[in-house]
Amino acid sequence: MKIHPDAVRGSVGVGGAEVTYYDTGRPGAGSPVVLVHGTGGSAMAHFRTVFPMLAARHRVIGLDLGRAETFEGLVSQVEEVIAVRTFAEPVALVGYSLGAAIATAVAARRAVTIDKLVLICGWAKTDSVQRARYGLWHRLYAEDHDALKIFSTLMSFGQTYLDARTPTDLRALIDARTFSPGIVEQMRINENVDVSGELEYVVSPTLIIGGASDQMVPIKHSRLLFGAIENSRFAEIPTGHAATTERPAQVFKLIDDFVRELPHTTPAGAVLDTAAF
Amino acid sequence: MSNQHGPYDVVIAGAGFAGIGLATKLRREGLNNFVILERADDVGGTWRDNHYPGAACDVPSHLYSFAHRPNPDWSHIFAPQKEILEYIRASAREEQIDDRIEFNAEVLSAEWSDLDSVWTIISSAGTYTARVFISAVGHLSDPKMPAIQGIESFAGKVFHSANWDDDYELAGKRVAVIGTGASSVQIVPSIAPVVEQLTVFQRSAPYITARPDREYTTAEKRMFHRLPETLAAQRRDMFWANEERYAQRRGTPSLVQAVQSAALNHLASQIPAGPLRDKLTPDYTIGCKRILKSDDYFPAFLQANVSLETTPIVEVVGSGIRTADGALHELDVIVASTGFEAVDLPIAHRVYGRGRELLAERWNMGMQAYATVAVNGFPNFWIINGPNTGLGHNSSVYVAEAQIEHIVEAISHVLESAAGMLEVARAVEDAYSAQVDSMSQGTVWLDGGCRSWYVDARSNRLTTIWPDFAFSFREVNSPFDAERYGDDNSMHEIEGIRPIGQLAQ
Repeated sequence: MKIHPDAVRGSVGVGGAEVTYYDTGRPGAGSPVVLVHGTGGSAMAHFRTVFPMLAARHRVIGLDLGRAETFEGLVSQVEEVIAVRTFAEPVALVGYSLGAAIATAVAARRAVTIDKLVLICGWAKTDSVQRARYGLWHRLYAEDHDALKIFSTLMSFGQTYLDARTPTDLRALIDARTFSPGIVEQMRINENVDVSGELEYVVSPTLIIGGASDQMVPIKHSRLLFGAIENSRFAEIPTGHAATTERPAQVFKLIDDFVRELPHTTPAGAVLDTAAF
Repeated sequence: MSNQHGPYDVVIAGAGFAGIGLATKLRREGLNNFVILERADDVGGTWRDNHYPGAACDVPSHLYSFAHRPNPDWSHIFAPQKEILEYIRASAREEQIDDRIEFNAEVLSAEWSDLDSVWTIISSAGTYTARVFISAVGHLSDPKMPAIQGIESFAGKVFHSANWDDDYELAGKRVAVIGTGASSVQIVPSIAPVVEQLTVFQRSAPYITARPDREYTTAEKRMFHRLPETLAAQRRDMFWANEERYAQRRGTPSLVQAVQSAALNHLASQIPAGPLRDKLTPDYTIGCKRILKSDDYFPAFLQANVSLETTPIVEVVGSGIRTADGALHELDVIVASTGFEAVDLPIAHRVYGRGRELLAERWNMGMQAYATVAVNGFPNFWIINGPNTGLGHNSSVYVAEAQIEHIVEAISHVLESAAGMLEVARAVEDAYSAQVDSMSQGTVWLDGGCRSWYVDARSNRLTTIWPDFAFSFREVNSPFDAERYGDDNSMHEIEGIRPIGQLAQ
C-alpha cells in the first residue's frame, strides 16, 4: 500500500546504498517537508499517519534510509535526497529519533540549506543508559527475537498508549514489529552518536518535540537540545518514544503550525502549550 | 397581557447541552438577563428524549462533557443515557440556571423587527422579546418517521426510538426495528432477549467497530477526584485519539483500509462466514456514514428469535410489514429507528429575519452560516449545532463549546455597542461557505457512494458536517471579531484553517 496516492516513488544511490524517497511534488514545485525516520524504521513505519496529514497542506518527501556503516553515511543519504529533489526551494526538515540526530547534522553542516528544523524524540550525544539498552538489544537479537519484540514494544510506547490496548491488540502490536535489514548497523551507529559539537551551527528556526514518558530517548535529551540550539522552541507531549504513532494528530498540528507560522509568532526559547485543545 | 415577557437581553431556545452550556457561560460573564425556552418539561435535549433500552453515548464520557465541568464520577468509559441526563440536570442546577428556564415553552415563531431592533419570540407559554435570539435546539432533535405506505393502518403499536414508551411491555411481542443506525445498534441487543421475535429491517449495513467500554473502578474515580490532572490527561488522550480517527476516515487509502479492515475483522470475529455475514457487510466506503461502535449488535442476530431482513419494505398493513418479495411479516410493534431531521432543520421554519424572510427559505438550497453561527438577514441571531457542525469522529460538546465562545463574545459586543446590532455581511457568509465547500471536495462523504444525512440532497452540498479536524473547528470558528462581520474588509479567507484530504498542489 502506498504511503500516499500522490507520492512519486524514486531512489538515489549514495555511497553504494540505495535510498528510496516518496515525493508528493517535484523539484522546484513547492517547499517540501522532508521526513527522516528513526532506527530500523521507514517512512511508512514512522510517518504512516503524519505523512498524509501533512500532505493535505504541504509538499511532503518521505525517505527510507539505505544501509550505511556510519552516521556520516546516513547524513549523506539525506543530503543527497534533498539535493536531488529540490532546486532552491526552502526545506523544512523533520527528524525522528535517530533521524533527529541526522537532521541536526544536515542542518548544522549546510551542504544543503535547511529553512526549518523539527526534532522529534531526538538526542545529541548517546549516554551510558542508552548504551546499556543497546547491549541488551544485541543480545536478544542474537538469542530471542520474540523476547526482543516484547522488549522493544515496551520501550517504544508510553504507558498510557500500552494501557489502552486490549491484550489481543497488545500482542498484535508486539507481533507487528519487524527487524529491517539495516537495523543492526543502525543500532551500532546509535552507540556513538555525537552531534553535540555541531549544535551551535544550527541556525535554522527549530522546533523540538519531546515525549514526556519516552524510555528510549528520555525527554532530558530534548530539553538539552532546546538548551543547546539557540533558535529553538520546545513542545512536550505525553507520549513515549513512539510519538508519531501515539499522537499523530498532535504531532501533525505542531509541525504544521511551526512550518507555516510559528517562527514568526513564537520566539526562540518559547515553551509551547500542548495541553490546550 | 400577562403572557408578555421581557424585554430580555437574550432568549435561548433549547435546554440541552448547547443551551445549558451557553447559559453557564453567560452567567459566569455576569450576563444574567436571559431566559431559556424549553419545549419539554425537563432539561437534557437529546439525552432526555432518547431513553430507549441501551441508550448510551459512543464518544467517551470524559470527553463528552463540558470543559468547565469535568466529572470524576462517570461510571463507564461510555456512560449510559440516564447518567448523561443527570449530568446535564446537575449542570443546570449547580450553575443556577434552573430558575432561568421556562419549561413547556415551545418556540412557535421568532421574528426580527427592524424598527426597534428586537426579536419577538412567540412560544406555547407566551410571548418574549429580546435583543438577541439564540437557537440551541440541536440538529438531532426532531424524529424522522419513515414514509412507508399504510403505516397509519397498522393495528399494533408504532413509535420512534426517540419517543420510546417505557410503560409498554415488549415481552412476548413480535417486534420490528426499522433502521440500522446508531440508535438501532443499541436497541437491538437490548430488547432481543426480551421479545418473542425481533425482525430488523436494514436498508444498508453499517460499519461497526469494537466498543471498548468498561466500568471505572472506585479507585480510578477517587483518583480523578484527588488528582484532577489525571482526569484532564485522560480527556486529552481521548481527544487526540479521536483526531487521529478523522484522518483515517478520509483521503488516504492506506489509512481508510486500516479502519475498514478493523471493522470487517470485528464482524468476522462475531459472525461466521455465510449469508448472515454477507448481509451485515457494507457495500460502500467506510466513513461515508457514521461508523458505529458495538460489541453486542452482531451477536444478537445469532439468537434464534432475531432475524435480519434486507428485502425492501413495500407497505405496512394492519397485521404487519410487507416486503418486496411479497412476504408478510406479522407484528405487534414497529419501532422506527430512522433518525432525525438533520438537513432541513425544523427551527428554520420558525425563524423570520429582516423583511420577514424565513430562515428555511434562505436555506432552501442548503444551510450555511458564517463561522457556523451567523446568517446574513438575521441580525442578533446565532445558531448552535447548525450548519457544518457534525463531526464523524469527535465530541459534539466540544463543537458546541467552540461556538459558544464565539457567541458569548458576540452577545457582549451587541449589548455594549451603541448600535446594539450585529449582522454578518452576505459576502462574508458566502466566502466562508465557499471555503467550507472547497474543504468538502474529494471527501468520503461526497464521493464514498452512500446516502447519508451529512449531504443535502437539494444541492449535494455537505451541510451538516465539519470536513476537517475538531481542533480546526475551534481555531476557525471560536474567535469573534466584530470587524470581520462587515463587508468593508477583504479578510474573507478563513485564517488558520488546515483542510486535510485535499490533494496538495
